Amino acid sequence: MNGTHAMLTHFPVGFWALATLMILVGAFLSGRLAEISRAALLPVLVLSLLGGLAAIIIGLLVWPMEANLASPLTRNHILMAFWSLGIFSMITVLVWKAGDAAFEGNRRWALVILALTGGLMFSSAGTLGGHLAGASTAFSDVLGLMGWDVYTTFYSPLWAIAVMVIIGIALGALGLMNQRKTG
Amino acid sequence: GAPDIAEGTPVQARHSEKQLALYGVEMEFREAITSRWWMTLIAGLIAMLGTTLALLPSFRSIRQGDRS
Repeated sequence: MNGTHAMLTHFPVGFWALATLMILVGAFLSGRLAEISRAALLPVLVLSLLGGLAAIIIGLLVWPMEANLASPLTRNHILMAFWSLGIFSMITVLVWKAGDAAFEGNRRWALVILALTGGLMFSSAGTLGGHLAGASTAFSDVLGLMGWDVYTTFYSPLWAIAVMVIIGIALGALGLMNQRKTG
Repeated sequence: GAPDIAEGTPVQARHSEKQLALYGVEMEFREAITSRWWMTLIAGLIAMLGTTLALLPSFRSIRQGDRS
């Protein structure tokens, strides 16, 4: 299963890296290349989610869940994998909803920020997976320079968790109210 | 570290004191850390869901009205 997981992860990581580049090209460049990037983004994102789901499901079968949860490295790998899937699901929903207008006005900035955040997350998930498979990269040292020793569990203080939940609920409620208003 | 473990190299020979201290904390408070880790993971996903719902009205298709 370890080999299958390593093989499957090429799909989400490849598609997410491609989607991030397409968003950057679509947001900052003009011309034919930018047009193609904007037009082809949604199919790439949809395929990335299918690849991400497959990689996560197979990944959870590599070791028993008890073993996964016993290792700080594996915990970090799982968290970053789910957050990567979460961020790129956000981008997929927003691009799908906006259609051809996804890059118009300030929307492009939301996509750029989300894509760069997602890029940091899937790179972290990837380098953590490398540690688990015995093939780590120098990117872990970059994370170390940013203040995170990847051998220790990534978790937030309780107040930060509360802030994240409150922000999530408040923004969700605001979004739903705005949707009702605008019909 | 698997080859070192197979050869029976003592942990102190291949880890710094700081690393061993961090691993000690991870093991000593394993349940508390794992529960906080779950909460962090889920809180992040809740924040993402909320942000998506907040952004959705701004991402409405401009041509949507033409279809109806």
